[in-house]
Amino acid sequence: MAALAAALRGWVAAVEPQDAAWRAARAALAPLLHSLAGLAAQMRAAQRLAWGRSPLGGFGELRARLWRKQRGAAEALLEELSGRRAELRAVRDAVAAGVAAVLRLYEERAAELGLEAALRRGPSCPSLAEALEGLQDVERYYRCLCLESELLLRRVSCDSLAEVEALPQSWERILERYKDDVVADALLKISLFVDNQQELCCSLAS
Amino acid sequence: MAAKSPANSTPRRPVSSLSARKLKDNAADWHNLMMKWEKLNDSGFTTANKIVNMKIGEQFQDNELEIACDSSATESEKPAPKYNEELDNCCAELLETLKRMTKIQLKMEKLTSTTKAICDLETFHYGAGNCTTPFFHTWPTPYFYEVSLKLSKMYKEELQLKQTIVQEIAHSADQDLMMVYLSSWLYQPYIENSSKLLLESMLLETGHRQC
Repeated sequence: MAALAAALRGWVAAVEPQDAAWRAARAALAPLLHSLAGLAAQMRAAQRLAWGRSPLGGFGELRARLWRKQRGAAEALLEELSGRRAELRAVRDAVAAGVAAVLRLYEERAAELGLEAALRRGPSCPSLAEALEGLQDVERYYRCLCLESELLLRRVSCDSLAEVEALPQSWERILERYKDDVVADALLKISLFVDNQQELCCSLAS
Repeated sequence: MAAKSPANSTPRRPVSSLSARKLKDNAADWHNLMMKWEKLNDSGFTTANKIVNMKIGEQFQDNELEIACDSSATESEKPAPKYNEELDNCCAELLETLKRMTKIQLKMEKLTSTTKAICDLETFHYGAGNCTTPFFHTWPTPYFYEVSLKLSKMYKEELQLKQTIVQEIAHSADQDLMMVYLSSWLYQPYIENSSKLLLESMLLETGHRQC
């Protein structure tokens, strides 16, 4: 049990900065999406405009030039977005590797520990099973949110400007389904286990 | 008269010559003018954005008022458009920005004509195409003029576009057109992406930037 507690303690210490990196990358996404949406609105306005009948009609090459500049700006934003996506994937992969290592350790010690010990909880201590469940909750949270963000952002292109314009709302709808407290709750549960698992051993002895 | 130079490098004339110093100063001036232009472009965009937001806000209020008014009201019974002092101030601000950009563009033309004068002087001394020793590293003197001319033309065309935007932006009711005005102001379609490279090359050539 002590070995598992130590592994969980190490995992929590590793996940805290990774979660901070995740939050930073996720927070950086919203302004990028708003900029892209604004740009898409400008590009659509330029597509709809009757150029010949406007005061800009005298500027012969303007439409093509403006389009090139707007596309250049869109590509720069998409590249930045790609960087943020890579940061999210890096956190997802690091957390998954950490969780896999702890679960592998549990599988090795499962027979020795027994089911009863894994399920035992104390007055201020969740069970080992609950702590491991917390681990899986965190891994699932990063994996699923990463997948949804990839599915949303991979489709972004200048060929579907209406979708790009709706990006901020689409992103908000995804975030509403993934509350931040999942990670905080799981870390709390695991920390409670790590700090108080001695009382489980005492109750076993008595 | 070529100065002594290390065996492996391009032979150069003394950099202290007045023409070379003038070209070097011009390169620095180009850099400063382009930076000032960008700052004015940013502040101009902020002002133009305010104007468009106010115009859209006014349109929204007018639409609501029309719905609220009796539909059988005649033209003379409908409320007159209100004077918008804030809009007027923003238009004055945008006009002021344009004036400052115009001054910058005129200075750019001056730089180009000074560079042309240096080329003409060189031609007078050496004959057309006979001077092969660059002032700095590799650029023949006429190339300085070519670059200045390219940059000058870009900014002149951009200024013409900005003049139209400033004249029209507060008078348009078409939201798509207003959006295009804003986008055109921000992205400066006539200032090509190569302008940055041309400037940096000029700064590198004249020794303002180190390799």
